[in-house]
Amino acid sequence: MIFYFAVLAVLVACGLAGIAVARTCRGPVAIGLLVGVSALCICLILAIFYRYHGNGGIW
Amino acid sequence: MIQFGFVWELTIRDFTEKFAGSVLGSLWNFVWPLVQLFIYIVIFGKFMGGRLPGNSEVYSYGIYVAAGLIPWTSFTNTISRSSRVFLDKKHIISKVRVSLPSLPLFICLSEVITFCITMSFLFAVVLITGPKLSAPFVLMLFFLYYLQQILALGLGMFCAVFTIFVRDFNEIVNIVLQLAFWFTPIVYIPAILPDLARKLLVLNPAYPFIESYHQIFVFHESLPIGALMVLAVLAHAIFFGAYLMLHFLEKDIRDFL
Repeated sequence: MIFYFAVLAVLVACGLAGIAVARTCRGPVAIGLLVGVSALCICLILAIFYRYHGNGGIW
Repeated sequence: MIQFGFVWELTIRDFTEKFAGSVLGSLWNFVWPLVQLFIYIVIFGKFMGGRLPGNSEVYSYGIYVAAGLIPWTSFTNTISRSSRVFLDKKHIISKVRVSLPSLPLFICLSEVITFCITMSFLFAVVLITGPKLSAPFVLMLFFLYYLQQILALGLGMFCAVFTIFVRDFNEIVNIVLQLAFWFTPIVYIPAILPDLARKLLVLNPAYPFIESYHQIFVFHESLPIGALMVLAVLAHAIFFGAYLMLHFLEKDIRDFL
């Protein structure tokens, strides 16, 4: 259950950060920041998954 | 700025006009995925007797193929269709002041809809035929697909810009994607590859997400998190790089068209 709450918390935090960026910046700067927030969000969710389910390999 | 209303309108039109004029119309969007799944799961699994090593289940190989092929089709369609979108929509670009990144974006959204329909059928088949799905793994499916499409959109935008200046580039993209299909373990398992090919496989950006889909639907072990994290950074960097290129070359692209 903690896994789902952690994922939800990351999504909400990144969603709020995304909205803040979209309201304050325009053009390539806004897109750059949104892409950064999105990458951070995905990496955090992957890290949470790793914490509970481990790494499957490849690298 | 990206015009979201315009993007949505193009997406719906792309989705509905594919079978315009036919009796069943948009229903064909649902018939095709069903036919595809029938081929992968029943023909490959049951009639041709395809099995995964160490797994005697009748449908496991069919599900393995479907779980890799459905996202792969979405990925390659996004890239190949995006690469010629500016040429296909030249009439719109020359008449209406449309933001150029909106055009690959509508291709991506149209492929998302097709993917969702096909995946929902695959889910139904998996639930009926037995293999247990783990809820956290299914949740990861959304993030995985998002990551895959960010990468596809970034590569598609790069290809779209090159295709305008060098028309042959679209054909090169299609050839590369065809070769990449056979260099990604979609219809075979990585263990059958020779050592050198297996070492090179880790450089294939499509491998981590295809392997993840196989883990979610067939093996239920764990996702290749390390590779996915590298892919997440790479996919976002490619997307941003492609956006910047499109932004700074916009005037040249319009002049060239």
